Amino acid sequence: MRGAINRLKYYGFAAMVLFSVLALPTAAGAATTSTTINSAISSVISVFTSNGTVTANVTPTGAGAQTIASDTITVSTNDTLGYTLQIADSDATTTMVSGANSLAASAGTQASPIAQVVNTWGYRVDGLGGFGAGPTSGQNSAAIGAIKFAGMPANSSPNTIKTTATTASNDTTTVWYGVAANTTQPTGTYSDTVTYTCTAN
Amino acid sequence: MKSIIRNSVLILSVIVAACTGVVASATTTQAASGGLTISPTSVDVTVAPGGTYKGEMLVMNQGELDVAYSVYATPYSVTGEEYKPYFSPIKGATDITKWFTFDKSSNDSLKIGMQESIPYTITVPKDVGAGGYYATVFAETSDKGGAGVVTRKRVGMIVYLRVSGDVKESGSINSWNVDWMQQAPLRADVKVANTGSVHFKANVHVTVSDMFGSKKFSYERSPEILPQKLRDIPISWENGATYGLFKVSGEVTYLNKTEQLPTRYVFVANLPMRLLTVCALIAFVALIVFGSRRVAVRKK
Repeated sequence: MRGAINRLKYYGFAAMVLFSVLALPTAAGAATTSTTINSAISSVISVFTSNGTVTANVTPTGAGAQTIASDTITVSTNDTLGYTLQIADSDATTTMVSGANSLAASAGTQASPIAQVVNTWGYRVDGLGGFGAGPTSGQNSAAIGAIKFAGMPANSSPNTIKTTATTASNDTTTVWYGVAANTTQPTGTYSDTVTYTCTAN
Repeated sequence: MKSIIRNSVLILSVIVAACTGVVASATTTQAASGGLTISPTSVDVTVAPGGTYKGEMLVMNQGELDVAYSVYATPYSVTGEEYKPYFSPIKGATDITKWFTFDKSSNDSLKIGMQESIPYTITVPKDVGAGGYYATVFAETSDKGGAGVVTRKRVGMIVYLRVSGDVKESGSINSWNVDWMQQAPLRADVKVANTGSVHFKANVHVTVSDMFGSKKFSYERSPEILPQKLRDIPISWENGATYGLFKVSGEVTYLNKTEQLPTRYVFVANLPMRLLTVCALIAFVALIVFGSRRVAVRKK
């Protein structure tokens, strides 16, 4: 009889210990509070260029000489729809101007660019539109090559030079500028302003 | 002896000059970058006729040069299904840029690493009809130069403005295209049409799974769909599988409803792998045919 009581005590104690252990997480859980952390990450977009001014000086020859120089545009955005990058002249006048003299924009377009002719300027982006793959390389007052350029569009009709569909981190686009001149082009410091426009999609 | 020394000095000078030239070219660095960062990239606001909305756009200089810039608003519209942005006025369309006022519209020198908040107010005239109106607030650098091509940079925040009232909200899924045989990357596109008078967001969720049901790629975006426009939303599994049979499924949620996109099966392979697959299939079929014939002959 005593043995039975002892066994009962023992099993009772064991059951109590077991229950305590099992109940512990519940008791601990009951004492825990939860916190929800919210964080809204704002969308950002940035555009940078390697040059504020692209210099393409030309020492002309009778047959014509061509200088090609580049500008690199770097875009970053955390917008998941990506971005669109456009290029256009800053106004409706697409010639490079030096006082009363001007240098005409190339007659080519982004879809149908043409090899540069003397006394014109233009741009190209390797692999875009009808420009061809390239690679273009810079040159200084060398003979006019077969590489194709487009005229800069006016500010009211910009050309899209890149569209992406996801976030971008330091995504670069290289724009090449070509200026070709022969000795009939009056000397001077010719200039025009181009605007790169970048918006999220 | 003198001539030997002179020659030695000359040779040494040439070597030094050559080495200096190499060092000079090696230390040539890229021009410091200049530009602007803005936040947010877009805002979606609702204003009643005669009401106002006050917001802020953050302009930051994260470049390597101090920058002068100006802030202004332009119209915003899109052309084509790919939504090519357009920032010039359109004849006959309401130009809402006059509704914008800026507390500060320029800065002569935003220092490197600095940022500036540009408060703006949109004041909607009382007589404006309900519907969607759109503009872009640009921050543009004021680069100046005397020679060559001067490049200005501008980044824009798109303003999706809903003038509240009796607006018509309607739209539909125009198409869901997934070619059954493709080369990597796997591409699909869904076109959503807005036939109403105000913009809405379309949440597009597409998943690509293998034939065992294991999810390999997930795409989720919520582009704005402008009124009376059709938007092509391209989906591309960049750096994804180059070979295999995949199941493409998804759904589009817009205007408080969800529409399932029909499940499509896509075989992804480049040309050599396609030929190899066809050859393997032919060999497999041939084996079965010859095998069954041999069994039939043995039975006879």
